Amino acid sequence: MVILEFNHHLAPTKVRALLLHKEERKCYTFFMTIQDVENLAELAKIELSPDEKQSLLKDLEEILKYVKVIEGVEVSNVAEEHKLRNVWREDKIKQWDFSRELILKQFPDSQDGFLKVKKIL
Amino acid sequence: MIALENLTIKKAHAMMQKGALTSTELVSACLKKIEEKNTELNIFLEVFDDALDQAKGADEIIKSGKGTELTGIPIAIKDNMLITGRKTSSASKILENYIATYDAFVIKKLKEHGAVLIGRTNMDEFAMGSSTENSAYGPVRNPIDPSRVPGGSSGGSAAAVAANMALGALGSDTGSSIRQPASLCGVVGMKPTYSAVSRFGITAMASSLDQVGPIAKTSEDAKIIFDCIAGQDAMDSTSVNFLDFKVTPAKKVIGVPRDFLKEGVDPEVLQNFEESLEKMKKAGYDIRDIDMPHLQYSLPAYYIIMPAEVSTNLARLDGMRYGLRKNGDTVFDTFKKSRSAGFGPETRRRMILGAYVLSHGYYDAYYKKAWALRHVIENEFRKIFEEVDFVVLPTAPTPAFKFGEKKDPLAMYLCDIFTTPANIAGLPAISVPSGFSSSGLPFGLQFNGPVYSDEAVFEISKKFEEIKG
Repeated sequence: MVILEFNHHLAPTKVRALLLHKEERKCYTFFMTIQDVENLAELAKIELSPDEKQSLLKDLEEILKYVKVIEGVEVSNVAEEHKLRNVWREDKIKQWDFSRELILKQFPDSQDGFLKVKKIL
Repeated sequence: MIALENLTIKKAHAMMQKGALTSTELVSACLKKIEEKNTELNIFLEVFDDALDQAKGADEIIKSGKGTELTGIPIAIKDNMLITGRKTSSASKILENYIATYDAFVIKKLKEHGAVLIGRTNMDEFAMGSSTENSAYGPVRNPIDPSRVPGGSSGGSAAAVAANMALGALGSDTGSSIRQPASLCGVVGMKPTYSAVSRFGITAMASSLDQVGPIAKTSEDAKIIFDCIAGQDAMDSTSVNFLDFKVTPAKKVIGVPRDFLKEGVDPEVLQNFEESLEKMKKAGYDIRDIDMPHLQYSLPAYYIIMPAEVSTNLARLDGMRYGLRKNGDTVFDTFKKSRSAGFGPETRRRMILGAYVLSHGYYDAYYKKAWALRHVIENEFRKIFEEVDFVVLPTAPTPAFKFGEKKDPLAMYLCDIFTTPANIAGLPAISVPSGFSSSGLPFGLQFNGPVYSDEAVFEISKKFEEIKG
């Protein structure tokens, strides 16, 4: 058990942010670490500034704490069927009214009517 | 000069039929309102330069006797619906210069009816938010009190109708985005049954929850727009002809899930809600307290399912085929640089949250559990609709709030507490104005009906307008 020096002038979220800074996470149920935020940002292909990582960590903690209430709900024997209907169509070649010209114009970079991107391999 | 304040689609149509009004006059009057007020209110991101040409075309159709109720009516379009050759940015920097290559199904329908598309309206970026403060182009101001938000995400569409800049508007609703702004701006907003309106050509946010619907001054006007845009579309694989499954409740018994209203509701909202129920009781409706213990889990389940779908849907915006591209050293650097420059803070937050709830080790605890709960909530509604015809709730827990008042994202999310159940269960739901607060801010009353009871939902809302007086 870690004993905290508690500053009563700070809002609970601020205390938690400080705790995090000191890496004294043991006494709180934390859902995430800065490392997690960095990994997720990498997955989502987003660059974050150090400040943004911190504030995002705080926001995600709050949100996850809130949505976590579903954990305690009993949901046994729920019908997995869903009323949504899949609507199928014949897999036939058909002329759609999309404008090729307009689509080509949206390419950020192109050459001879081809989309140009950085080499992938 | 046309008095736009009291003009509805229904009235304008009747006047145009009689030759007492032309679409050109009507659209000119709306354009004048936009010119006077848009700089202050920031409702339209773009006013279409061909609006008057469309009106002239509509006048010809009306003269030839081939018009419908929407012919020549100015309709505002939320900036997440594709119109061929026009910008559709979803109020994001990443799509700032994106030009649509085809018409959304709903746009095609409006065009077929000769409606006048007057402009594209401001919104929260990618429809994520409840105040329009997440727009990359600055927030919309509420026409009733410009120091307050119009609600969101279809804040621009609701404000356009409230400010008489259009007679109707299209919005999209994933968790509240048609009904909550309609409530905060004092107009009618309806979210149809999931699958009743095609999502083809709408920028996807959370595909299992998104639905397009109408915003208008009256329930009757909202239904006119709904009748035009509803219908089966081969391009949306969930779309059906809702009339094939039409459900017609008796429209007499109204259920009130009282336990759900215990916490976090503004006292004036509650008082107005009780007064509305009293009026319905006097008019002969059977108002019953109902027990729906799982309703409270709609919002937490929503904030798991929605970000999961957001993170997958918005993965397509990578700066490759369209939208903003910022070149990096490698293709992955280009993805990152483009997405980082193009997406605003709330969009990033939800994509990262979505990546988290879908990640290995958390999938079962969050996403799978949330889906199971979704079925529980659907079943709870199904069962309750055997007892009652509609479930009634306030639309929003508070009236329009001040800019910057909800800084913490979770506080903003709680604005959707009463509206997410309809999205989670796929139900039709309507917000209808129910009076004003002591400081003159509008309240909305929300009717939720069984799946495919869309027509009945419009009818009960119309009845309430009559009862309310």
